[in-house]
Amino acid sequence: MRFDALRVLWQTIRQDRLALFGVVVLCCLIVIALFAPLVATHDPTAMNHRVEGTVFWYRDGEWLIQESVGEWTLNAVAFFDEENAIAVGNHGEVLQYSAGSWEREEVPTTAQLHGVAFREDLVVVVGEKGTILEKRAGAWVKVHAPVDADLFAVSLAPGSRKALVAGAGGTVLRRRNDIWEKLETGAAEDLLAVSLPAEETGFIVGRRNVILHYDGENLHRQMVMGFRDLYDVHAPAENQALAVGERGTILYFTGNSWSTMYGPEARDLRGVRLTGEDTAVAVGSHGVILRLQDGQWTREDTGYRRHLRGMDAYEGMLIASGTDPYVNSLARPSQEHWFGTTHLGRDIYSQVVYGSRAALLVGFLAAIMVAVIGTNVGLFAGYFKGRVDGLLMRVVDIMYALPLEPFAMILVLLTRPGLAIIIFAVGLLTWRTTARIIRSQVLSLAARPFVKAAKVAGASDLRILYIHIAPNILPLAFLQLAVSVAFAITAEATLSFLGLGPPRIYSWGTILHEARLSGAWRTAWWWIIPPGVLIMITVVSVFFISRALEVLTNPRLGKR
Amino acid sequence: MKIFSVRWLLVLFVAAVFSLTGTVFAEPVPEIELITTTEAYDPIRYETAFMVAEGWEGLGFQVNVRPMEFSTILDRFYHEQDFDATILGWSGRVERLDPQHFLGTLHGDQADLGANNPGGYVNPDYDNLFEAQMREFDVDARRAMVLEMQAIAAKEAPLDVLYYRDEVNAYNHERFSNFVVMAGEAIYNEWTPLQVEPLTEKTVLTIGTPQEPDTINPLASTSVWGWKFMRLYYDKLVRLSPDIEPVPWAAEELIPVDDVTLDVIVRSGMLFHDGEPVTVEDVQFTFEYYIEKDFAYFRPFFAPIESVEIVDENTVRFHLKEPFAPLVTVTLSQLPILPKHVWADIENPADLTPDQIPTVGSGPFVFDRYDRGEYKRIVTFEDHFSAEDIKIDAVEYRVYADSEGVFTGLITGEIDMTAWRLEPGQIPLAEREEHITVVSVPDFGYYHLTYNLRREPFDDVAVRQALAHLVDKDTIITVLLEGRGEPGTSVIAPINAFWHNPDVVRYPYDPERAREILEEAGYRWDDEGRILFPGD
Amino acid sequence: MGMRGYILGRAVQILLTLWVILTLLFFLFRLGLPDPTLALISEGLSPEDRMLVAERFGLGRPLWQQYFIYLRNVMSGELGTSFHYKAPVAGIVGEKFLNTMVLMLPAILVAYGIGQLLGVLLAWKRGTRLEFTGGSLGLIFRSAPMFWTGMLFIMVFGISLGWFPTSGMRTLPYEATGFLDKIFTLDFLRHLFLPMLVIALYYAGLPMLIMRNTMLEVMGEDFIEFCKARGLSMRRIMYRHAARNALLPIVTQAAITVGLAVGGQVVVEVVFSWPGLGLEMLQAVRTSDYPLAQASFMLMAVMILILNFATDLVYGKLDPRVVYS
Repeated sequence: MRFDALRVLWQTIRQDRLALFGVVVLCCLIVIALFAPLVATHDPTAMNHRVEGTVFWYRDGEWLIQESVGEWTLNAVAFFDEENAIAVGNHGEVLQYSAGSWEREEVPTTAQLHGVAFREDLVVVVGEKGTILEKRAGAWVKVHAPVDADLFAVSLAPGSRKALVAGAGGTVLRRRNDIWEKLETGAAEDLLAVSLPAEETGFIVGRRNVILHYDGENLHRQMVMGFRDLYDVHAPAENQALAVGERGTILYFTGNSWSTMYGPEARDLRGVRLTGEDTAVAVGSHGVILRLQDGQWTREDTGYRRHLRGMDAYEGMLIASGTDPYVNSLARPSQEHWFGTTHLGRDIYSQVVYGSRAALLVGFLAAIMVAVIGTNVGLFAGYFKGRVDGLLMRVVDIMYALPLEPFAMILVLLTRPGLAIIIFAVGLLTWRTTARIIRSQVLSLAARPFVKAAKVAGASDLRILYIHIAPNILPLAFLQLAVSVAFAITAEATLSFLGLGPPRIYSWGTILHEARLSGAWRTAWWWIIPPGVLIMITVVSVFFISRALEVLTNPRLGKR
Repeated sequence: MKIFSVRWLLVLFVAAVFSLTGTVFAEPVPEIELITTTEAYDPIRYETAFMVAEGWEGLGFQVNVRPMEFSTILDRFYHEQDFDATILGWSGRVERLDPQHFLGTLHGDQADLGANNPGGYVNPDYDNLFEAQMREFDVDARRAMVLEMQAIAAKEAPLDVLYYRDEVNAYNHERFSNFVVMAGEAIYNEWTPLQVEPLTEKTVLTIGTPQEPDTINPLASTSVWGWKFMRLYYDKLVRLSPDIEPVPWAAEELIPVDDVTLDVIVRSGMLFHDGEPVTVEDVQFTFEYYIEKDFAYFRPFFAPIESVEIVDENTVRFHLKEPFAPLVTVTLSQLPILPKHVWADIENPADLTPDQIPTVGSGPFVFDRYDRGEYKRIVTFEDHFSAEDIKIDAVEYRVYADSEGVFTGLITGEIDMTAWRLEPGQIPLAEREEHITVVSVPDFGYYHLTYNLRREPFDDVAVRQALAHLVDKDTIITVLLEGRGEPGTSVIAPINAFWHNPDVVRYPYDPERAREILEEAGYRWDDEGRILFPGD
Repeated sequence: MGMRGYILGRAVQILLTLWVILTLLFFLFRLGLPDPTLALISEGLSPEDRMLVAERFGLGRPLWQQYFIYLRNVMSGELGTSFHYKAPVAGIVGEKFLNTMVLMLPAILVAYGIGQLLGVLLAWKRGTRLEFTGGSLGLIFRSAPMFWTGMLFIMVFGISLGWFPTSGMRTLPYEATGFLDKIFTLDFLRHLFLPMLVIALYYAGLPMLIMRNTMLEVMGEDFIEFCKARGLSMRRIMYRHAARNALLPIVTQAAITVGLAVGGQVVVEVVFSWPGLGLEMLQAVRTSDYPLAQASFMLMAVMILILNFATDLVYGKLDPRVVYS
């Protein structure tokens, strides 16, 4: 008899196109949920990074961005003239710009390169572990350095082949007469930038506010208040210099002393160039670009959030390079991320895939709980009537008086957020309807002759209940089960949206919760549409199925 | 035979010792429960916890991150001290620029239940320095001690200062100019309403916030949001300038008599909003009233006061129980002057219902209306001594359900400024708007990860140092805070430049170094990579 | 037993149910949630100070004593003082309740109005493409979670098109002498529109389906044939005669919906920052403000119970076959 019921069930569904569609959708979802790790393209919690060589040009009053110039971070860049520039980066990347395009240069190293200086007849590149490369007469040569410390910056004096190099642990190297030699600095901090306005004068800056002045022969530490790391310095003349660093620090030098300037930025500044008497541009992390004009620093927004590391200027033109590994946040849907990414660079497609697990798990477990409790309570109440009925129906009344969401909130806050508690809350509170409906059905069934016959034949109450009555209410129970599944899935999404879901387990509601928290949802349509659509499709599939079942329990509806 | 058995006993004994030490040796470090806020309360701290856990797990620690409701965390952390490690924050209130409060959070006397040092760090050297700096009036000498305390704390790592988060506010620069930016409070400080200049017809400054005063009862409010509102319609003897220097306000002059006596000359000609003059009786009454009602929230401020005496019609004299360096900067700048004729007859001020709470002050603005959950307004007080400098007619506050609402209000021009930080996701959107200026101000409060030093393995300084090396703070700053903040080093933040020690030992992200530290301390790892306690 | 006996019996039942719920709430809150003095006091107060506060809120006594105090207070309508607002709970809950109702009642009204009309239409046009698409659309709207449609509506109508405000009940500041004054304005209606639409769309599916189903049942009955024979127009038959007969289950469902609506749709209130009871309760639970949370929950329970009761009575009025026993 039970098999009959199932068969009838299947027959009914098969006849209804929509119900069939619902079944197919549900099956697909179940497969996706089971094989989520295979179906997903990313780890849903991983913040996806990208590394790229990016170059920002400033020409004719506007910023142009070349997003992928090479595949590695470009740490430094240098202009020679309008048509020629060079950028260096990690993994021995050296890119030369000429005649409108970037070409990769073959160099005899794969070290990380941190600094570059460019003259007509000489290019000097420095990098980690004492790497120094020189390009003379069109050929790259690896030069033996007198130290093996990491070297961070190099500067060539104008119209000269004399250079200074700054490096880790207070290292300073000088190139004089084509020979590299080490200078005494007395500093132990890492030195990060150098600028030589002339052969006999220059500045070196580094961590912890170290500023060294070079007088053509020796280095002298200049006393400056503060403790911030300085990342770049630019001195177009011996009595003029700007240095920038950590947390938006800006220092300027006029003749004999350094003083602090206040900029509008509290993030790190990594490059600076004076572009005129009293104009300058600074660049930094998160795409920060500041411009100094009329004694005021103002922010310029290119819309890009990539980190800028090095910069150079040439007659009103600017070039800045990057980028550190950056989090690919709020990316629109693309080949790499089918549904785009969140504000922390998480793959939304993968989150949605994993989200199906929570939805189905809660949906089915809670619904089964509801169906089991509800059906049994209904059976007992309807069959035994009297006191049993009274008592059970009072419990149902109490359940009816508890609003679901607030009650679930309390439960979650009393214990800890988790799927189990959501299943429990939904299961505990929603069997009430099922119980009532089943009860009324059982009431009428119990009066039927076949029940009386069974009683006369001496069958026990339980036997009558489960063998004789239960199969008759099975279609109704299935209908209630389907309705409960839909309800439970919606309830799970709702509670997760309120932030009551388990941490780090993505469900569709959780995804929307995060979208809302981030504040990015007003523009990031790709973030909120997929989870919502999936909730909708899932629930509607269940509804379609339940509608077909309804015809089964109430054949008059089927008359068409 | 006898010798034989003795030898056997010996063998047994040795075997037993071996097996015992063997089991001790094999004992794994227990799972660490890392408590943090829910994602809804603070997404940054929530994500941070998982990043910390990931770092720790890299060296074989078992970590269980538990996001909890904020009140639950406070309960577990302060009240029960039932935690392994917890991520919490201290907000940078102006009176905390004095290092007293933050240094006190590591003081041994504060390690008992409910006090400010739930981690239970006790170091007599540190405590002695703390006592000494409190009584030191020579600023440079005090500074030296404060720096040394930070150095001690950093070396012993009883907590990991995770980051300082910038306070990011925004305002509509097409409507108003001349906003005042203040450390820790950004533009939502007491000077902004006094100094902003309207650029359009709109002479009412509209502030948007999701925060509500708990109450506007000056004898019951225990929240920053209550006081940030009330301080505009109450006057204080001293206000802290935008550079956090005390400037006499309702006081005309402050005359120190000796270490424990201070004369305050009250400005003459001031009026309360109901027309009554402000007198020395009111000032004396205020302090005596707070002391008599023993308003707990202000107790640290008035506790050092022995008595307040009226010297003449313009002068009150404060007698202290012992020298108290922050009297002017903290006490006099925080307590509002209450009208005696209004409050004198109120026996139980804490029990006033909302409609009974007096709102008569003498401040530059007059309380106008307060609709809970929706709206507040104060209007300029024409008879105030600063009235001539105030360029606006009123300040109004709109309350939104959350920072999302505030943000929408800002974009649509409903409000002129925010009184609450923008979330990282909202900042780039705000920057893109033509009419909005975003202001980012470093905070001198800090977010910290405090270990429970009473529990294993945190009782071991090597473990604490190693754990600190496993936290990738740079990523927290660049990714979670989008660069608007700074990796933590000391409980005194870098923005508090005078007291901050920039040379404390740092723990850069370095798993290899962490492993070395643990190996040196005798920790081992089992076959599955789980970390084990030292055995021998 | 007559009508009076029935009402009396039900009243006793309701009181009993209420008592069970109150007890449940009391123990849930007192045992599970953290010490509320913490949420109340800023960081760094000494244990003595906290004792004082606990004393003020009567938290120092044994649990069973607190329980009876609590029951007595509830009986006498004394709901306590909110820890957070430091103001009587009754006033706060009352106001929030009204706020919720002015959102939910119009929404349900609209939903049932539209839903019924469409339901009749679907039954009338049964078997056609119209019925198919109409029915499916109803289900689809019922399947889309309200917080999601709410977010979409805000995105489109609030932000992109800028037609409607996206949060709150009124543009601040406003002058209103009373609650009615506050809501009888155009500004309120503008604020009401989006959240109401979201809720109405969600709720409309159910009455539509019920209407359709019962209509199909009713239409098989004799009097419809009789009407047809009298030559009445189909529209008239459908909307005047058949629909009236299908009203019963709709009213029942509507009352149940209203009852459940007292809690408000928490998510809609969250998304639209609607200062209603649901939102307030969420906040209260989060901050361990349990007088407020308890009172909110209690109000919801009471309303549900009363409305269920009312439904039964109305049911009797509409359907004379029902006998009270």
